[in-house]
Amino acid sequence: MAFLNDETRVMLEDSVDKFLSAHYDFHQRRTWVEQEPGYNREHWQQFAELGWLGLPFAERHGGLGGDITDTLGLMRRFGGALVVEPYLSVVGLGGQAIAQADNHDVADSLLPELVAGKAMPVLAWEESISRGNSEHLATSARRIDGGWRLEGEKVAVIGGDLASHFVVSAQAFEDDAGPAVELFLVHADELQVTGFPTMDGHRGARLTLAAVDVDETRRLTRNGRGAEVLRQVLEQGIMMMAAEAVGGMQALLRRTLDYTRTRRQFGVPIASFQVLQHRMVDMYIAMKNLEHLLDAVAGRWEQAPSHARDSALLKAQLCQSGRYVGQQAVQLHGGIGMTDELDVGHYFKRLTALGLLFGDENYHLKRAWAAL
Amino acid sequence: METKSVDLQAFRREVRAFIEQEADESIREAGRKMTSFFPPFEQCMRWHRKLHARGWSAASWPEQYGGPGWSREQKRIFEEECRIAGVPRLLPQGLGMVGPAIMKFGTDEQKSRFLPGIASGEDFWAQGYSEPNAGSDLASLACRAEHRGDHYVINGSKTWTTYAHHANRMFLLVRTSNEGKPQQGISFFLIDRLDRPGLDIRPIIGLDGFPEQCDVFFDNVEVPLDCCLGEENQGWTVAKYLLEHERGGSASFAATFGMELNRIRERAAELGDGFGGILCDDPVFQQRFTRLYLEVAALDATESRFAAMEKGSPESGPMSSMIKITAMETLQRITELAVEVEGSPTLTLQLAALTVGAGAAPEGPEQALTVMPKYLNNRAATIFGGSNEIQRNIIAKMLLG
Ligand SMILES: Cc1cc2nc3c(=O)[nH]c(=O)nc-3n(C[C@H](O)[C@H](O)[C@H](O)COP(=O)(O)OP(=O)(O)OC[C@H]3O[C@@H](n4cnc5c(N)ncnc54)[C@H](O)[C@@H]3O)c2cc1C
Ligand SMILES: Cc1cc2nc3c(=O)[nH]c(=O)nc-3n(C[C@H](O)[C@H](O)[C@H](O)COP(=O)(O)OP(=O)(O)OC[C@H]3O[C@@H](n4cnc5c(N)ncnc54)[C@H](O)[C@@H]3O)c2cc1C
Repeated sequence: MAFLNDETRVMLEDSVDKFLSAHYDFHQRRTWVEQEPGYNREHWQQFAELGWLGLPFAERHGGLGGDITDTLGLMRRFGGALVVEPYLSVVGLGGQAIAQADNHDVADSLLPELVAGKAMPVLAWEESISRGNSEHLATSARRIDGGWRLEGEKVAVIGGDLASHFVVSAQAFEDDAGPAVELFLVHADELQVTGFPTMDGHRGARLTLAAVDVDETRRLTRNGRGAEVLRQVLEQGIMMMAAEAVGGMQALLRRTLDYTRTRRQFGVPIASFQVLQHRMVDMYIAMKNLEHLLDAVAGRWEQAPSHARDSALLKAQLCQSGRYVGQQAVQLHGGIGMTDELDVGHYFKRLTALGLLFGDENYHLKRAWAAL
Repeated sequence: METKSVDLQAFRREVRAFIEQEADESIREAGRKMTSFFPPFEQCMRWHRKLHARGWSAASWPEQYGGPGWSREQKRIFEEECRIAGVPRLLPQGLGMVGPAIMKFGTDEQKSRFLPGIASGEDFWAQGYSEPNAGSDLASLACRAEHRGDHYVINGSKTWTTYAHHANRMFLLVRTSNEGKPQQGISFFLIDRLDRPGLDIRPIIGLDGFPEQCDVFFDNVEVPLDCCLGEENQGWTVAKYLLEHERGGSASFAATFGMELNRIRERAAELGDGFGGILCDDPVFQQRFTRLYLEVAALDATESRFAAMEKGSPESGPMSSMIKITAMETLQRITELAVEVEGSPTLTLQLAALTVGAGAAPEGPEQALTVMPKYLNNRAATIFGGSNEIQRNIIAKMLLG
């Protein structure tokens, strides 16, 4: 495990700030969201040129050799600007699953392509029965001559609409052993992709795998290691989502403070009403709770990756804080907070989505309880 | 009212048979695809007119204005059957708001001119209260009307006007005087046509991606002098009377919420818990569900109290505020639970499938289709009709004096 030095981190975050303030306008975002492919392809190329796509990948794959925690500053900023490019899906989930799996040939061929902005592998793990649990799945992989036959359905595949490849989890049935979770690489044109926009301005897909045959070279994990890789990648993903949520909440709080200071009713700024002041203080506390917990969790991760309890608590906090800050930001804006025109509602929707993805509060509190 | 003994069982059967017979598929589709307080317009008004043909559109109106003369039990049965069948709830602006205000404050001429169209569903009235700078502080409204010869001339703007883009009429608060307290210079206008020159209506897109509210602009719009409901400069009295109707009076929220909870419980019996069991066996789900069930039971009890109360009495205002606060917050928690029960399929944006008559099949489970838009749209429930902060201020004033 390697980390970027502080200087590189600062430089990088500086470049993110510069890029976003120069190129990421909320009203233009609307046109990217509404048109195909649902994000700005030129941005993605610039992300590649700026080295962002290679951040958490090894140098031999063209990356910067950083750790997932090195992406958190970037994710915060992405959250603050409502970035729709599929960084979490491709770099954080699909790419990381390949990087941490056991198939070096796939990693050596695909990751340099990802880092260059060409390949877009996306993780497909969730099913209608999952409810957050990556090890509760019905998709099966059965032995056929020279490879595997995959069968099943994946839902809510975030970024699935624009993927070049999918990393698919399945219950693999070896000849005599019981089923074990393994990961497989499937090209987007080998299965049926039903793409759709999501309510937060992103894209998603449902995947139908009806007897998709892949040869042995596309098996990414062995000996049931798929479950472990999946767990670790989802834990990383939760840290990235938490960082994005912190950025989104900061933006919402700033907007709400500004708005209530300027909006006048009854002859005074509405920020002068104590009930609203306390509400904003509680928003601030909710935001800080997530921010501080994320910093603590990321710090422990850098010592030793993967803590089931930490990531479960972090996600539960994300759900709680995100819900409160999002709902109250809308409430304190009044009618204008309910419109598509103002960005406040879009932050609220993104926070709602981040809360729902990868298991809700109830699920994660149960996971945390099991890991106490 | 004479006390006739009505066979309630027979009445229920009659209502059920009527709905069965008259609510066609597109009306039912509109009912299923309701995602806010305001059902899809066209189908809703068609249903309104069908009910009117049977004499049932204005359930809570006195018989002299076209009400059916039902007892409280009958009204409840009717409401229940409508909810069970899933037909759209009728829009409140005419039947529940301006209608009762016209009955109370209108001249005979105004009553005979406007009430029949409201009852029949021929007319739809939009509510023109809020302005960009007059939201919670409604009395500060600035849209003004001036006497000029034999008419008024209106200048200014309104905003958040629900369904103004569908409306043919509008009730409007305007400033007719700057003398005295802000409340004293307000008049209540009945605008009989919205195709008047200088009147411009622009829909606003909401969080769910659909237009529901509008901006309304008045640029030297002329209206006749007899459009005033009540005395000139006495509009605040009318507005307040009507707000009370809007807040708690007209609807029974508890019955509707009970249906929503039933739907959630049914789904929880079908969906998994992520560990191989079913959701409704999850004790956390059970607690959350039952707590909401309790909230609805308490709301139901308060609503019964309120229904029996003299409107306009000192307690009825704060009581309607209390119903507004608890009902809207319970509603928001119900929509929140529904999102969690359906889970990530609710993230899919489904504008086509939500459009009545578009014929687009939903992506993912049908039951999940409306869940997210309901959650999003009902954030407005604690904002409109006087925000919950404002309602709490009203109750505080009662408690503290
Ligand atoms: C267990 C205990 C130990 C203590 N130890 C010490 C000690 O060692 N030394 C010492 O000097 N004092 C001590 N105190 C006193 C303590 O600091 C006071 O109780 C405290 O400052 C509150 O003052 P009060 O009790 O007069 O309540 P008040 O100030 O009268 O407040 C009553 C209520 O009104 C609320 N309130 C007041 N002003 C506002 C406002 N502007 N906005 C919103 N709400 C408001 C308060 O939050 C409170 O809920 C102690 C108190 C307790 C209970
Ligand atoms: C879906 C929807 C439908 C609507 N339909 C209509 C319609 O058909 N016709 C119509 O006329 N209007 C309509 N409205 C407008 C609605 O009545 C206003 O949005 C509402 O009165 C709040 O005003 P505002 O939006 O200007 O918010 P503001 O008044 O600016 O309030 C902003 C925030 O400040 C808080 N606040 C304000 N004053 C105080 C105070 N004194 N103490 C504490 N907190 C305070 C509010 O509670 C809110 O949280 C609709 C609104 C929505 C969202």
